[in-house]
Amino acid sequence: MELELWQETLLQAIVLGTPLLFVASGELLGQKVGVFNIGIEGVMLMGAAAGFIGMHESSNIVIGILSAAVCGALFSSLFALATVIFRTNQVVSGFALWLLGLGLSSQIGRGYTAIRASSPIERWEVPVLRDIPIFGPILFEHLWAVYLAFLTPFILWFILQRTRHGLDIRAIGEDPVAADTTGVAVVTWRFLYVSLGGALVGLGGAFLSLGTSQTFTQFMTSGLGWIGLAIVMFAGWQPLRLILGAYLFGGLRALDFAAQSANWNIPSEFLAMLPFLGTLLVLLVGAWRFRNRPGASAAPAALGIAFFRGG
Amino acid sequence: MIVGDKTPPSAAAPLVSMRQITKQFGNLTAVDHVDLDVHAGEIHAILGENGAGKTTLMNVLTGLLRPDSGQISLDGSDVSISSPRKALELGIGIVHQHFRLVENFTTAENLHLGWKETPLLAGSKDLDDRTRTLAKQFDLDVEANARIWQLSVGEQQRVAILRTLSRGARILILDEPTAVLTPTEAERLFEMLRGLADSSKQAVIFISHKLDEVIAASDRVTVLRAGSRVNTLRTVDCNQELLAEMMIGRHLDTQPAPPSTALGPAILVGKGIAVRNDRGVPALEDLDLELRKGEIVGVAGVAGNGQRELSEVLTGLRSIDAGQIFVSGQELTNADPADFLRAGIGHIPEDRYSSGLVSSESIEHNAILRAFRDPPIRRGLFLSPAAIKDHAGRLVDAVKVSIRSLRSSVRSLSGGNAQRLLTGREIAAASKVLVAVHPTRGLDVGAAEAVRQALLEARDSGVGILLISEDLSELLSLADRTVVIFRGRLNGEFNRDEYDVNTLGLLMGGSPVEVS
Amino acid sequence: MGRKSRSWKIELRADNPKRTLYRISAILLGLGIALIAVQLGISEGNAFERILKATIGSRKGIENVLELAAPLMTTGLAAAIAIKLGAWNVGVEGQFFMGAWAAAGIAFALDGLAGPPLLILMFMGAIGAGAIWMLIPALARAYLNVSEILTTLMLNFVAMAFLAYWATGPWRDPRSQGAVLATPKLPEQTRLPKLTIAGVEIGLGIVIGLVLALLLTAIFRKSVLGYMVTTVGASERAGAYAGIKVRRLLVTVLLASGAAGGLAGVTHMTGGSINRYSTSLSSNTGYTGIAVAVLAGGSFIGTTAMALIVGAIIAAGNSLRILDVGSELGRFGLTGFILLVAAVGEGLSHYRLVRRGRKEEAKITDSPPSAITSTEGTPT
Repeated sequence: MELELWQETLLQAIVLGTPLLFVASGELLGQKVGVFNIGIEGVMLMGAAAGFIGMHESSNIVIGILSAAVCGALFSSLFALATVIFRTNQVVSGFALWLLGLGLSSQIGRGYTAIRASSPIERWEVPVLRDIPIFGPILFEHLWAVYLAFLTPFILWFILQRTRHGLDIRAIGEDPVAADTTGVAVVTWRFLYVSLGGALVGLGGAFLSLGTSQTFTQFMTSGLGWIGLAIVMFAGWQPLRLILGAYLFGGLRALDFAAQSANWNIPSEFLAMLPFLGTLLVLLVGAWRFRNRPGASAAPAALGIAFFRGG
Repeated sequence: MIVGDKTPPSAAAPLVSMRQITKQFGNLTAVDHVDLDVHAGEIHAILGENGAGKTTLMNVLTGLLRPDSGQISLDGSDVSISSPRKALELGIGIVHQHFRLVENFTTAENLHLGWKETPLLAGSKDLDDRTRTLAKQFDLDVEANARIWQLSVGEQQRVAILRTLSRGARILILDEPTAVLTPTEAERLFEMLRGLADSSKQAVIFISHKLDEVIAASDRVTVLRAGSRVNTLRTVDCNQELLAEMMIGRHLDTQPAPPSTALGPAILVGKGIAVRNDRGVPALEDLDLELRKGEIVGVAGVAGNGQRELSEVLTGLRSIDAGQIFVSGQELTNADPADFLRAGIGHIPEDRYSSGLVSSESIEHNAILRAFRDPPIRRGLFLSPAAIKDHAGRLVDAVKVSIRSLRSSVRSLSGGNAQRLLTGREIAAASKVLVAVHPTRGLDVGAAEAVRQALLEARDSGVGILLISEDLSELLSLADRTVVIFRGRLNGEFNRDEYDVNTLGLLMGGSPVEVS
Repeated sequence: MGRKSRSWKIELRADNPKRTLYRISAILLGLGIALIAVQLGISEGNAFERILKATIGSRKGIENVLELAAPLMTTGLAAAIAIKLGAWNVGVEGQFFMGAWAAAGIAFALDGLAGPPLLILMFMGAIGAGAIWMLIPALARAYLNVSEILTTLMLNFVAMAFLAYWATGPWRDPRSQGAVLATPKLPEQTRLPKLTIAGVEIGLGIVIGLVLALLLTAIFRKSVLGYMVTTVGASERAGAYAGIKVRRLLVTVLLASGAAGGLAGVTHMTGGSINRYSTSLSSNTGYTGIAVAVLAGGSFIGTTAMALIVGAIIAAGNSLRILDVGSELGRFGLTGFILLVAAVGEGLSHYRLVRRGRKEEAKITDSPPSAITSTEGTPT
């Protein structure tokens, strides 16, 4: 069915926002336990590469997806090992992770760049719902991973806000010493959730190589990982708001394409700037709200600080 | 104030019994063969001044420390409390002065954090409901869905107490609970504790140095002094004088220093100073102070009564909410540290390594910390290496500390030598006033003596010194005049040779006594 | 009794004077491992020989290394300035491009001016632009306690978009093609001359980097400002105690860091081989510069040395491309690996093995436990 331009734009907003949603969810998980991973761009690339390789070698999309998740988790666990176990500086280790990811993903992906995905992520058209006039085609004719991405923040929200375990791990990000005093295994959970977050980020990369582009190219994430980082801050570290941020930022890119094809005169660079300026604004406004509480902000209070027992 | 009139039946066995507990740290015996019995349904106070061993004793009971000798028994059977976790399992819970609550969480969330009994699936509404149930059970008034940072300190303390009680503490220990409370909140606290002891048969232990509290709120009191147990009495059999005497003791070794030769007019005047501490609780209230040229005024008092805030206010590190400060007639109310320095006020701070000295830097660097802004050390935008070396060298000579090199880091110095350096620097910088806070804390005899000598010399050259110290003997021997600070106000004052131990004890314990 | 306790305990220690040793050993170890891995991984040829030839073994190699190292020196120094106060200028990349933009703008607008005065104006403009780009993050950090890591990061991307706009719009080069966005060449007179020492061509970028390092070292060791920064960097409380206005100092230092970032941009644009305002001016030079500064332990002279080493690593990586090892792996992967190993080495230096049974510390007073918030880098 032919879609009008605005419908197409909304559709693209969702498509472009999906990898962002995966990535932002993964990073949020890590930040909620207090670990700031600046290198998720590298993890995303590794996921894209590993996912494609896994799918190609096995001709099975499920294996591909799993490879991406496992690779993302393993790669992030390197970072977790450094920052959580060895208490290295998170910024430096994050950069290292990013650079490693750039290099390693290019290396392992070398033989796979000119190949078309044989078993890509398939489209799943939701019966009945897709026939809803106007919005049906926009919302319910996506690749199945899109629906998965949409569900992820809800799952995160449920675990974090509605379970005992979620309470404990949120405490790790707020005040690890207090959490430790009450018996929460700070180090263990930090390690696990940073790695788990990495799996989600890897999935984000796989969505590119196995879903939208259906091929692998060097550095194909072109900065999406960084945008994912911005989304976490933009969302004020709240899972459900990630959806807003991801689709909004995805929408800006879609708007860019739309503007070009409709010959509107919005410089696409301006649209490209908006997510980042928006996030900056959110950060500043947020800090202004907390100005009477020195040191407080919307972020988990212990974000970025290494945990030492007794401190 | 309520009067504790419940006397537990002497026939009943104590809930917890500590026998002959001893704990040493190196050469220091912090706790020396102390016995303590506490019964169910009893409120038992542990009274003592700084360094008496109260906290150490409680650290043993709560599993933070292992005693060197002695035995603890619970319900008649001997137990070994190997860790805080074990203590909690045994039903011993403590609420510290600094409650470890997660500020951004609500009361309900804090209550249920890391707790086995929290249901697996628990949304905020469920947690709130459970919290309210628990609050009712223990008759504690808490706001389930308020965030901790929104609560007053008294309310936060109630949350901490509720958390301890919910996890099954039968013995509730409170460490200086009213240190952070207003008098009204303190009263509410003790009412609540009374109710707890009466209805749930909790054994409540609270550590205090405040005589009025102990008299009003406890059933029995154990007085500790210098690590030993002086006595355990029923509170009805005590009055403040008796307690004060037991707390301080009869003998205070003081060799009074020679009186000042340079006494002059008032050089530092504080009027009606009021300030809040970091938690927003008033730390100083309507405090008047006068310090004369060539005089040492000692400030006695148990830690936590506003001494820290007083020293910060008089050196510009904290701005005051009300009142005025004058130095030599010049108003310095709310000036910043640089102005105070320029006015000739030196500061030997409480934490020598985190503010007075930059421990990672060289002796030279630290030596000029007060002098770097002015010639001869400052030359335009730069510092003169020669002048630095000269200044540092002279300082080191003056304090007679032998060092390898002026460039070696301060960390390489012993605690005593570092303090001597700091003291020497501040005395040199203090042309008018010196605020010295615990200047000999942690020093060996020789270093402490050297510091005291330096203070006396400074006094005799006309500097007015405000000496805040926990060491009563030191205060009484050095000070020309001593004031006692309690709950942010000056409680009493006396000249050298006029002090009376009992009165001093009463004043430090909070009893306002008229002294001529 | 509880669990059986081991006889060794790992304890945190305040500061390790041998930190530099740990760091350097870690770097050497990382290099060694990487070299062995590469040699084992390739089918033929001698990796070691090849690397040697591409780096210090030949005149061309040395020139190559110097050219790669030049921008890293200045960006590294920019990052190092902020690190002195424990702050993280992650925005060097953005300041780099904004500096280059200001310089290019001046060059295009005043292309009639002779070389030297034009260059002076360009440099001044670049330094100013870099500082301005840091202004909001600096103020937000000093007065609102907003993490400068987050704010400068966002501005990096804004700067990239900004560059894209100018290079494809008002300053468009009709002949530019492909993924690289670039303006036409800058006026001839803005090209910085190269020096030749002992037969080796050295770009002015290196010279500027070295001079800046020496200048910064002098300032930090000898000036009043430097003294204050050292003090506050070591302990904010000591700074307040000494009457230093900490927030003003923070803003000043961060602006200086931004200015240095801008300097890096204009220097590389005029002193390197790319004489346009273009995206290819930086291959993550800003971020790599931060890594360089951290690897150097935040010392200025060390940063210049480390820039050379990292430049050599990149050159080595490039040289291996012919041996079937992707240059990206070399360029990024290697640097990343080294960085990780160095970070771990640094992290480990925080610990020491302590035998149990030592007398416990006396905790007689009621002072609150000090929060050991070790490592730097605190977002928010």
